Parts: sequence; C-alpha cells; structure tokens
Amino acid sequence: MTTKIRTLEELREHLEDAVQLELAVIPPYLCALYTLQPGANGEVSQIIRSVVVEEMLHMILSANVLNAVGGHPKVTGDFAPVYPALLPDGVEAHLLPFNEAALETFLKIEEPSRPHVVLEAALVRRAARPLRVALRKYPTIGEFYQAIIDGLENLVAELGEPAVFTGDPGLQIGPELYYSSGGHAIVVHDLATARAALEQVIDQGEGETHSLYDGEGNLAHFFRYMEVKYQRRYRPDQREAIRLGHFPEPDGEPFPVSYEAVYPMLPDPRTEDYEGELRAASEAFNVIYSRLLQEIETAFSGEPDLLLPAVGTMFELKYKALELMRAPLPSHPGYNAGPTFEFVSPG
Amino acid sequence: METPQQEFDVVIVGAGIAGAIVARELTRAGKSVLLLEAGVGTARSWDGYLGHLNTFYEALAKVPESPYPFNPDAPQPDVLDIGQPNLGYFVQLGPVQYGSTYTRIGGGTTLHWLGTCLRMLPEDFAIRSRFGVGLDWPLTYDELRPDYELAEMEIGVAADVEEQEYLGITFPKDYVFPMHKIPQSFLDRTLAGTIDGRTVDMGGERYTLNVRSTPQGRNAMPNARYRHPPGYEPENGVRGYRPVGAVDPRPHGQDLAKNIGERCAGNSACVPICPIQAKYNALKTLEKAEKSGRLSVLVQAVASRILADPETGRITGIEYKAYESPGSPAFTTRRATGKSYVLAAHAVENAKLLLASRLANGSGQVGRNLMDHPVLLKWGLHPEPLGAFRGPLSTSGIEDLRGGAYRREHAAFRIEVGNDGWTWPMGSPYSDVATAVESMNLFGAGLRRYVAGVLQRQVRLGFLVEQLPEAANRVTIDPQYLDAIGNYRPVIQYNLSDYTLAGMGAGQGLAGRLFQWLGVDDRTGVTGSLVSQSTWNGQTLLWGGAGHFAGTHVMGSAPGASVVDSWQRSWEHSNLYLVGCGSMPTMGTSNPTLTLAALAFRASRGILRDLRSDGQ
Repeated sequence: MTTKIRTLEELREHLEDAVQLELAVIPPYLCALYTLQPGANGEVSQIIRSVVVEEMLHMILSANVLNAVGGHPKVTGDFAPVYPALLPDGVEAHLLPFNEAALETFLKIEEPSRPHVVLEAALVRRAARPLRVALRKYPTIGEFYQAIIDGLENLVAELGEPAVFTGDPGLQIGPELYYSSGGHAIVVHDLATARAALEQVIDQGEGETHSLYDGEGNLAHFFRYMEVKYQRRYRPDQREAIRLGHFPEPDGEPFPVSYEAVYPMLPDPRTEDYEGELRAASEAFNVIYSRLLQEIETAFSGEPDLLLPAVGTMFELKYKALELMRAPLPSHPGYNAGPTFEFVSPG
Repeated sequence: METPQQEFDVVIVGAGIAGAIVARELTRAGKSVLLLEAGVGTARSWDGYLGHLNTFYEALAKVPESPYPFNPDAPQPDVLDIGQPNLGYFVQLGPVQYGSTYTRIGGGTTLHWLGTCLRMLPEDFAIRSRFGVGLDWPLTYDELRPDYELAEMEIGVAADVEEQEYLGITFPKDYVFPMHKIPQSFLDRTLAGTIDGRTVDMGGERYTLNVRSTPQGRNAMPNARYRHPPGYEPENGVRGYRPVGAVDPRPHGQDLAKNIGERCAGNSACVPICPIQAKYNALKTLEKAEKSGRLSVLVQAVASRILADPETGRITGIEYKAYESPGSPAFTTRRATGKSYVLAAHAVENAKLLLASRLANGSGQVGRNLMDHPVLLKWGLHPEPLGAFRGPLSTSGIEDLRGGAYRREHAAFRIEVGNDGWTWPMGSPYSDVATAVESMNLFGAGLRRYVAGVLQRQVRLGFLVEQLPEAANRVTIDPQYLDAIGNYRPVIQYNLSDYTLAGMGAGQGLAGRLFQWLGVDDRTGVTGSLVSQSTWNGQTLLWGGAGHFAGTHVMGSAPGASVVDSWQRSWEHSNLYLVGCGSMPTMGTSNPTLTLAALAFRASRGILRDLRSDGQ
C-alpha cells in the first residue's frame, strides 16, 4: 500500500529506491541503443540517447537529495537491479534489443498514467525480480516522486529544515562534475533545492502536468518514445491537452525506423547462457559494469571526483557491450549475445 | 541583375568565425544582418553534419578537407594539391609552396581547426619597437584584453589561469576561463616528467621549460567560478558556464543533438571533423545569431565585387553570384545592400575581393604581408609506450621560448606536442600497417604486436615558427586564372626569410636536445608530399603549413602603410570593415583564431558606433 512518508528513515528509504529506480531503467535503454547497427535508425538513436542521459541525471539528482537528508546512496550489491526487473505497478524492465516489444516497455516505464502491461509470453524468458520500489504500489513513478516531495515538506514543517537537511555538503555532486548529459546537477541543501531537483526528475520524465513538454520546452520521455512508435516527430506547435489515458499521436516530420538494422540480441540474457569465449566476454562486461557501479557509489560517498574516471568506464562498458552484441550465439540460433548487467562483487 | 527588395543594416561576407561573431554582436544590438556565404550550408543541420562525417569516413586520404567536398563554384585549396603544379585552387608561383589550406563552407575553417586558443604575448604587439623587426600593432595587449575575454567566452575556452600567466600575459585578479583545462594526456605528462624544469639558453638568456596545458576551444569541466562579462550574462540566471553542444537548428523540443558534444570524448579526430562537435565551430555562434530573427543567411552566394561611390568612397553594394547547386555552372548575379559592409571571407578571399574590386588599396598593401606559421616537424620513437592516438590531437605545448631578446636575431617559436603520433608527417597509423604488411610480411598476432608496439611509442613535435610581414609574400589576381563561375583564383608568391629559417634552425637544434633528454630515437626523414623541405646552414628542415593565413590587409596607425585602422575599418571606405586574420600585422607565435575572434568583437563595436553616428 502507498503510505505517507512520516519519518526521516522512511524518506531516506524512498530516496534509496529512487536512486535504484533511475539506475534500473538505464540498462534496458542501453541495450536498445547499442543494438542499433551503424548506418540506420539515426533519429531513434538520438531519441533513446537523449532519454538515457536524462535518467543518468535523475540518478544524480536523487542521490543529491538523499545525501542532503543524511542518507547513503547505494547502487552496488543488493541495490544493483537484477533483470528482468519489476518496476512500480507491474511494469517490467527487460534487456531486449531494439524492437517493438522493447519500445512498448519503454512507453510503459515513462507513461504518465499507466495501465498494466504484460509482455508476450514468448518473449519472457525469466520472471521479473521486483525492485523494492515496486512493493510500494505507487501507480506511477511521478506519483512516487510526488510522495517524496510531500514527505519532505511535511517533515520540514514538523522538524524544521536544519533537522531534515543534515547531510554533509561535501557529498553533493555539483554542476562541475556532472555537466554534460541531460542537464546540470543541482546541489541540494534545503527544501527549495530538493524540490527543484525532484521536480526536474518528474518534469523531464512525464512532462508538466497535461503537457507534452517539460518546463524547458523539451518533449517528455514518454512522447519521445511515442515518436519512435509512430515514426514521426511531434509538430513543434502540437501542444494539445492530454486527457486522462489519451495521448495525442505525433503529427510532424516522418523519420525512418528499422527493426531489421538491429543486432538480434538474446532477450534477458544471463552469463550462464553463454559458453567459452562469450562467457568470458560476458564476465568481463560484468566486471566493468560492477566497477562502474562501485565508482558511482564511491562518488556519492565522499569522493565525487571519482565520477571522472567513471566516464572512461562507461566507454569501456559500451565497447564490451558491442563486442557481445556482434557475436552470434551458437546455443541460440538466430540470436546474438548481449550484455547481462549482472553485478559481481570485486575479488 | 536582380536586386533583393530588402535593405539590411549590415551585409557580411563569409560565415566563418569572424562573420559569425560580427553577425551575433550586431543582431544582439538589434541590427538586421545579411550574411553571404560562398559555400554550401550543409553542415548547419545535425543530419547534414553527420553527412560530412560519413564523407570523411569514406575518404581514402584523411586530410583536413576530406569531409568537405570540393565545390567548383566556391573552390578551396587542398593539402593534396600542394606541390602539384596545375592542380587545385591556388596558383602557386613560389619560390616556396604556401603549405596551408582553408575551407569554404558555412562554418568555415573552424569545422576542421584544432581548437588552440593561445593569446598573443604583450611583446608580440610591438616587435618593431622592441626588436627592430616586423610591424607594430596600433593596439596593445591591454587594450585587446577585454576582447580576449569575450572571445574566450564565445569559443568556450578550457584552460587554467595559473598555467597561462607567462612571458607577460596577465589576467584580471578574479578571472577564470569558462572551463577547466582539458586533462593533459599521458604522453604530455610523460614528456613533462623529463622536460619540466630543464633550462636552455637562447640569445644570451636562460629559459626554463615546461610542458604546459594548451588553452583550447573544446568542451571540458565548466568552471563554477566563471562569470560572464558584463552585458553577456545568461538570460536564465544560471551561474557558471554551460558547455555548448552540437548545433541542431530544429525547433525547440526537437533539437535532440544539442546534448551531444557537451563533453570532449577524446575521439582524436578534431582535425578534420569532431564527430560530436565538442570542439567549437562557428556554426554555434551562427545559430545563436539566427535565433535573434534578425539574421538572414544566404548560402551558395559568392561575393564577386564590392561597389563604391567614387565621390565619397562609401560602399554601395556587394555583387554576388548565386549558384543553384555545387558544380552547376549556372548562376545569377545579384546585389546585396546595407548601410555597412563587412568582409569576413578569409585573409586570402578578402584580399582577392578587394583586388578584384580595385578598392581600399591606396597603401598598395592589399594582398601583401601574407604569413603563416611554418611548422617544423620532428618525430621519433620513445623507448616506452606513451599512448599516442588518444585524446584531442594536441593538449600541451612548450611556450616558454615564445618571447625574448633573441627575437632581434631570429624568429620565435612555440612547440606543439602532438597526441597523434606520426599522422601529420607519415600518415600513421595507416602507413605503419601498410609497411608492416607490404615490406615486412607481417600478419596475424605478429602484425598486431608490431603495430601496437610502434604506434604507442610515436612522438611528434611541431615547432610553430614566426613569420614576419614581408611585401613580397603576397596574394594577387590574374584574369587568366578564374574559377568555374568566373571568379579569380588566388595567385600566391611565397618564401621563407632568413629570419624565419634561422628560427626553424634553432628549433631543430632544440628538438635534438629534447629527444636526447627523452631517449627518443629521432625518425625525422623525408616522407613525401605531405611535408615541405627547406635547407638552412646545411641542415634539412621538414615542415608543413599551420593553416594560419594572416596579413593580407594589415591594420596600422596611419593610412599610408596599412589597409585598416585598429577597428579593422578601411582607411578609405568609412562603411567597410575587413575582419579576420588578414588584419593582423604580426601573429607572434600564437595560433591566430582567438586573436581574430577578439578583433571581431572589437570591430562589431566599431560598426555599431558608426551606425549610431550615422543617425541609425
């Protein structure tokens, strides 16, 4: 059941969940993005990339709020998502190549108000593991964030700002360290900055209430994926109101989308699916992925400068993912390998 | 001839960095501007830019021009034409081949510049007074310094002030660059480990050497302490600097590419094309100007003649040839009119246009004093892997020898440290692979080991040597040399003086010592058409052009010996400005783009002042 946030402890747990949730949507988007073969799907690539970088920003913003209220953002160990992952209200995040099924899950992840979605049985190779946030029963991600904002406001009213924002300012990731990719980090130290950070997350994801666009005039994520689905851009002047459960279809410039120029990655792969060199490559990918998560977590824990080498690690991750995606999988004819995003403890 | 209906406040020729900055400044002040660009405008959309990237991928020779196809209607010089008689755009009369090129396309040569943003030294502005050579500027460093700050804002320069205060370069107390310095490469840091703190003597003075980070127009970590100059504060009240990503002129909300390139990703392709536009190019400035709604850009419009009132000297219009598509011989001659006129077409093109129009040349200096920085190339193999071919093509230099009393005797130089192995002189890495396969019969693992072993150890230094303004080095025109639509091709006479050759010789001597300290095995040797060859005191000097065209319409303090005043206004035509490196009487040893950008800001103020005093 959704409950009101009444204690600092509950607030911190919600924010831990927010950090995990923002991380959890990135690997599915990266799988779609990296399976696009060069030479086609240029617009699709730009659209998915633009969403991914904003999710990265959202993770930073959530972590800044959590650090500001004295919590400890975590993305390693049990906090690393396991795929397929169950998100709030029955939405499943799968590791899939770019295809129509993947696109449907993206629309569901980003949808401002959402009905249940069930993937075709044939596509589901493994049962989804729920994230902790999925057990909280918020109907949408936006409402989950709204509950955090409400909780913050209530706690500040009850305890006063200094009692809520007790975090070490040295833990904040500022606009110097996070500057490219989806916007600029907001340093959080009071209710106003916390609200600004969280509202930016809601705004970029779902748009301003009843609008296709966020406050800066960019299309919300859901509508960017609608453009991919309908293979046209929205007209810049297409700003009709969103009614409950009804979203306008894009009516602007068409652009080509190819579901063929895609590496046929095995859905929801695990390293155990692979043998020989591919297994070694998958293990190598997971070592890089785990190192990246560790670098990010350490950056959140007092060494913000570690975000700099993490950028290099992200490039390593991409190259290793592409190596897997280009390799045919002998055990599954017609499929290629793909990254499994399994966290492995160091050592 | 057709004449467009609309009259503009200002007509600008050339959509490179100089024209873009002037257009931006004038439209910011509410003026209407027409910009004529000779080349195509294909790089202005993100899709079009990716098209140029693909052209580069498919090109066999990865020279600076390779992403920007030759266009007979607005032809451009090509590195591959140098030393090939009867080939290409330039008519080279020698005795030495001018070794540089530029690109005629919307965005100009900033599409394939390296991005180096060095300020000139204070002493560079007065080398005639101080060292008895060259020309003095009608400006001092201190007078130009606020415009350097504007240029660093517009380009988005990454550097740390503490490293850039040397040889008299000063900054206001609280100044910081928009972005922190680009991290120095492993190669830079390895060289610094040996070189930093060592001393050399030159002209009786002792110099301490440092491998110093190079200021560059390339997106890096924004400096939170950066404050925009007064009048340029961002509208949204954001503090600090925001890196500017790729140009995507689609309507707001559709411009997805703008988040690309906000951070340099080390693609190592700055020249000829940054795949993500993390490096500044003039399209970024142009796009801001276009968003004002007061700028009209006409591409495929080649200015061919400037028209003046014979009584007053006032410019009355610019004739241009509008062609339908690149390669098409069909064109229409039209006239553009405004109150003021700006030639920002490039040092060579500006001179050509003035000569063709028989204007602004009372001094006889138009087209003369053509300069470049001949780059003495030295390359070798380091004993240990240095990680060449990673990061921007150059991230550091040795700047300590840029100034000093020795300049009475020979040319000054700066040393660029390359991260690009032997690409420039030898065509690495492709040539190394070809050699290994064809001459050494290597294949498989042995081939991989050899290539990795060689490439990782490659070192290349470039000594950018000063050239003085000399009347005999010049651009002229000749009716027997015309392009496809009847415009003049530049006829170039060029030589290296003893002053410059002696500077190159000094550089060569120093290179030997640097390589000795580093344990680098000197592999400098004659390679082929990509490198020019000269001799000095029995030594062979191998060098290439830097792309630093300057001096063809020099500024001065009096009309008799110069073409423009310190505002870059023609002495003879009060509503004509000639902007760009052509106005620079000397370049010292700085890559000139930053100075050219600073001068463009200054010229913009001059134009606005003229328009005001003319009652506009």
